[in-house]
Amino acid sequence: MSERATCGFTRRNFIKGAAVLGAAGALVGCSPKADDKEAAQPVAAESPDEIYAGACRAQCLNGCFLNVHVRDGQVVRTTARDFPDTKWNRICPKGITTVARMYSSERLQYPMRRVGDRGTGEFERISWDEAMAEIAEKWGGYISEYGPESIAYFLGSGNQAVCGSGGTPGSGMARLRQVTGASEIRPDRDIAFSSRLSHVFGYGGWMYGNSPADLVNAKTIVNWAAYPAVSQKQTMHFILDAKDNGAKLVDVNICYNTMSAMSDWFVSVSPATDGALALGAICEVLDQGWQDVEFLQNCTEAPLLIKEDGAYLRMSDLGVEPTKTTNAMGKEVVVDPYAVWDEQVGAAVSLDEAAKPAMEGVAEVEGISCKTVYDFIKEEISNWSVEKASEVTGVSPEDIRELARIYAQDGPVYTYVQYGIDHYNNGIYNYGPIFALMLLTGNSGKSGAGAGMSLAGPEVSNSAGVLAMPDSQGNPPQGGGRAINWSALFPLIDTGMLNGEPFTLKSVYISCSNPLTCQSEHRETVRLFNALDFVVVQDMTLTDTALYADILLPACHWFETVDLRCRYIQNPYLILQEQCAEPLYESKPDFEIYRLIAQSLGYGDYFTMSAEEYIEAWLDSDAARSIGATYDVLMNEKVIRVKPEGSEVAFEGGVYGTDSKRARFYRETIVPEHSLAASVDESKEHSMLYWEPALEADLGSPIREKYPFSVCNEYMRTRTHSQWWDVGYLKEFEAQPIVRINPDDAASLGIGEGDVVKLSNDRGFAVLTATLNAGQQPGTVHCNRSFQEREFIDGNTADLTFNDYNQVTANQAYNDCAVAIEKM
Amino acid sequence: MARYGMAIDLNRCFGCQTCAAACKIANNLPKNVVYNVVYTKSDDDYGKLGTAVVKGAVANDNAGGTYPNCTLSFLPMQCQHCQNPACLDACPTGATQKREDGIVWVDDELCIGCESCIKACPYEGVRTLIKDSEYYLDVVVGEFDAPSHRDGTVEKCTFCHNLIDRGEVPACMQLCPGRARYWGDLDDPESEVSKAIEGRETLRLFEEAGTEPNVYYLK
Repeated sequence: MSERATCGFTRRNFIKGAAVLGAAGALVGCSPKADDKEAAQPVAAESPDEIYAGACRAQCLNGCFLNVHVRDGQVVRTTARDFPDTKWNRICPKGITTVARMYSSERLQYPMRRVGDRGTGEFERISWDEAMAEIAEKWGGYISEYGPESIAYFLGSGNQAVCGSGGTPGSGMARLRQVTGASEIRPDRDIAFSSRLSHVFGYGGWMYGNSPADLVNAKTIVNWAAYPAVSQKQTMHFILDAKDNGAKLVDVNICYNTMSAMSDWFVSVSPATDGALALGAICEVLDQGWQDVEFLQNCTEAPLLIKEDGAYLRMSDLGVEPTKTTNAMGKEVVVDPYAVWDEQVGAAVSLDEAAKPAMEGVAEVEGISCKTVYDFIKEEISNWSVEKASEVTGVSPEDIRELARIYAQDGPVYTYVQYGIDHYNNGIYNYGPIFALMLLTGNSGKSGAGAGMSLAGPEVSNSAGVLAMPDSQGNPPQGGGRAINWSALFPLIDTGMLNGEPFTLKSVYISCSNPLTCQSEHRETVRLFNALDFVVVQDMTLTDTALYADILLPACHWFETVDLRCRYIQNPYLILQEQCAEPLYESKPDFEIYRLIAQSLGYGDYFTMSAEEYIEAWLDSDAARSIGATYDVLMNEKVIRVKPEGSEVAFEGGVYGTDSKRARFYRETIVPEHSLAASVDESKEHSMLYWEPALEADLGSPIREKYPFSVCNEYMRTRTHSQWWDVGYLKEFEAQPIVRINPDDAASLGIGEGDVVKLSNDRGFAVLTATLNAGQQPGTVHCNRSFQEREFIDGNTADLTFNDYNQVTANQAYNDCAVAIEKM
Repeated sequence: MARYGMAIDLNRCFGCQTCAAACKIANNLPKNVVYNVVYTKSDDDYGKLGTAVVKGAVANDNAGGTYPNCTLSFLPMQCQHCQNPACLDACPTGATQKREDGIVWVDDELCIGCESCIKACPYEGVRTLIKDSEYYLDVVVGEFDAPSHRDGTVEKCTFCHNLIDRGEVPACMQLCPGRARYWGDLDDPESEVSKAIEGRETLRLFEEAGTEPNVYYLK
C-alpha cells in the first residue's frame, strides 16, 4: 500500500526511486523546484521512510490530504500531499503535529471500568470481553425493560469518516444505532446558520456557498464575523489571492484581529448586532434606489403576495383548482401555484406564467387584500433607519452607508460568513438581514458573490443505503429511536418526559466526541452525566467526557485503520486513509468496536462487512458512479473529486432550493426546530428581516449592570473543538486558557499582563490568565474555547455559558455570555 | 553554486504557525528548542521582533494601538543564513560553517557550547544552547537524519540541509497555508524566490549589522 519516499511520483508515473530529484514537496504550490540540483551539496542518504496516504479527519471543514511518513512501523511525520489539483493542497499546525496525538501519553491503552465517582478518573483495567459482557448485560436489561430508546447515542463530529465515525452521513455508528434502535442526542451546534440558510435559500446544511476557489472572482469580500485565519486556515490563500487580484477585503468584527489587520477596511460592530447593521445598510440601499430589481423580480419571492392571514395568495384563492402530480420521490403532491400580479397583462396569474410580476403597490386581488413581499420588506424596514442601526451597532451612519454602497456598487460581493454570529441566542436574527442585504443587492447566485464558506453541490454517497442494509437473512435494521435535542435532556432527567411524552433514559453512548468539554453550561452537563445509570465512552484519550464513563473503550488513532474522509465542505475531494501502523496497545478501530457492540447485543449479523466493504457500499450510488467516484478509483488515486471543476457557484443563476426556486424574505408557516419553548411568538419568525439583541452579549443588556463584560468564546488555532488538547508542541502557540482584555478595561480592574483573573456569573466561574489586547472592543473579552477542565487554574469557561435556546432554533450559544471579572 | 535564500511575504503571513510546527516535528526538536518562531507584531517597528508564546508571552495574536485603530502583523523568524554571518568569525572551534550554497550550519562534533555565536549574532533568539533536553513524546519523530540535539552544543535553523541535499524542501517550506514563503537560489533569476522578490519592496532585518541576511521579507 505504501510508496517509498515520494508519493506524488508514483501516482504520476514518475521515475521510481528518483529521490535525488524527487520529493513530493518539490511539486507543492509555492515551493521552489530544486532549481540547481547539479550544483547542490553532496547527495544525502535516501530516506528510509515509507509514505502512506492519510486524511486529517477533524471537523474543521478544511479536510487535509496528508502524506504519513512511517519508519520501522512508527509514524514519524506528516506533510501535505498533493491533490490532483494542487491549489487545494493544505496542512496546518494540527495536521503537522498529528504524530503527537498518536503517541500521546494520554492515549487510552485498554478497556476500563469506573471504580470511583464519576469525573474522578478512577478506573480499573478490564478485558475487551469483560467490557462487552458488561455492556451487553446493562443494555440488554434496559432494552428489555424500557425499550432500545432508553439508550441514547451521542454521534459526534470528531472523525469525519465513513466507518469509524458518529455524525457523518451513513457512519458506522449511525448504522449501529439503526440496528440497535437506540435514540439519538443532537449536539445542537452551529444550527442558527444552517437554519437561516434553509429558510432563505431553501437548502440547509453544508452545500450552500460559493467555493473558496470562486473568491478570486469577487470584487469585494466582506468577512462577516468569521475568523478564517484561525479556524479556516486553508481558505486564507484564496482570500489573499483575491486581494492580489484587486478585491477589497472588508472585516465586520467585534474585535480587531488578524482578519481586521489584513483588511482594507475594519468595521467594528457591537456584539451580536450584525443583523441590525445589515438592516441599516438595507435602509440605505432602498433610500438610494440601489436595489437590484431584476434579480428581486426573477430570483426572489419579492413579487409573491401575502394575504392578511399571513399566507401567500395562491391560484386556488382565485378559483383555480389545485392539480395533482407525482414528485421525484414518487409521492403524489398537490400543486397550488403562487399567484402574482402580472403588470404586463394587468391580472393575477400563476408565478410561472407571469411575464412581469409586480413588485409593489398591489393592495387587492379579486377582492382579497394582500401585499407583495417587497412591500412587506419596505414596511419591515420602515421600523429602521441608518441612525437607529448606528445606535444599536456602534457603527457610524457614514460607515453603514458605505457598507450599503459597497454591496450595491462594488460587487460582486462575496460574503464570507460562518459561525461567528451563529453562537448567540439571536443567531438566526443576525443571518436573516445579512442574507436579505445580499439578495436586495443581487449578490447571490453568481460568481464572486454568495455566502461563503462551503462548496455548493449535492451529496453523492449511498449513505441512506448503508444505514438500511439488511442482515444476511434479509432483515432490515429496526431503525433508530427518537432524536433528543441536547437541552431537552435536562427536563428529561428531571421529569422523565420528552416533548410531553414519557421517556426513560438510562444510558448514553459516546464516540468521536467530547461533550463534557464542548457543550455549554458545563455544570448542567455534569449534572446530566451524574444522573445517568450507565455511560459508555469510546475515545483515543482520557478526555473530560471519558472521565465520566462507566465503561471506557480505547479507540485507535485515525492512522491505525482504514477509512474514508467523507465530508467535502471546503475542498472537493473524498480522501482515503490507508492503515499506516498497527493500533497501539489494546486499542481498536471505532468501526471494530461498533461491530463488537452489535455482536454483544445479538446483532452481529448486521456487522459482518469489513471496513473496506463498508466504504465500497457507501460509494455504491448512481450519483457517485456518474462522476467516476468508485472504490477502485479511490484505491488507486487515494482521493476522488466529487465536486467537479466549474461548479464553484451555489444557486447559479439565482435558482434556489425552495419550492418556488426563489430566495425568501418571508416564511408562511413557522415550524419550531425544537419544542423547548413554552410558547412561540410567531411575530418574530415570519420575516427574515426581524432582529432582536442577544440575551447577554448585547452591550445594552440589563445584565451588564451585574456582569459588565461580554465573553466571546472563540475557536482555537491549535485545536479542532477539543482535539489536539494533549499535543505539547501546540502549547508553544497557545499555552493555557486566556482571557484577552482591552488595556483600558484591564487598567480599571487593576489587571496587568499575565495576571490571574476570575470570570464569573450566576452559572459558574473560570480562573485563568489575562492578556492585554488593544484589539478588544471595550466591554468585551475573548477566551479561547476548548480546554479540558483540568487545564484551567480553577473552574471552566464552559461553566459560564447557557443552554437557553432561541425559541425556534436549537443552538448552543457559546458567545452569548456576560461575566464579572476580578483580579485574583 | 547556488545561494539559498528565502522570501517571506508579510502581507500573506497570517500567523498560523504551520511553519513553526513543521520545523519542530521534522527536526525532532526538544521542548525548549525552537529554530523558527512566528512573532506577533503589535507595532510597525521592524527593529524589534515582537512577542511569541514560545518566547514567554502569555498569548500570540494581540494587537497594539488603541481600539479600533490597531496594529497587528506577524514576523516569521529563523536563522537568516547571512552572506556575512557574524557567527562565523566568532566561533572559536570552527564548528560554525558556511556551505558553498550559503547555508550556515553548526557541526555538533566541533561545537563546545561556548555561546560565542549567540552573542555575536544580531538576530536574537534564533539559537539555542542544548541543555537537559526534554521531549514531548517518548518516540523519536521527524526525519531519520534530523539534528542530534546533543547536550552542550548550539543549534539553529539548518535550512533543513538534510532534506535539501536529497532534493526535498525545508520543512517550513513544504506547505505554507498562506502561500507566503518562497525558497530557492537567490542567484538564479528564474527561481521562485528570486521571482517573488522581484519588483517588491523588501526588508532585511537589522541590515545595519552588515550581515547581509539571505532571508527577505516582502512588504
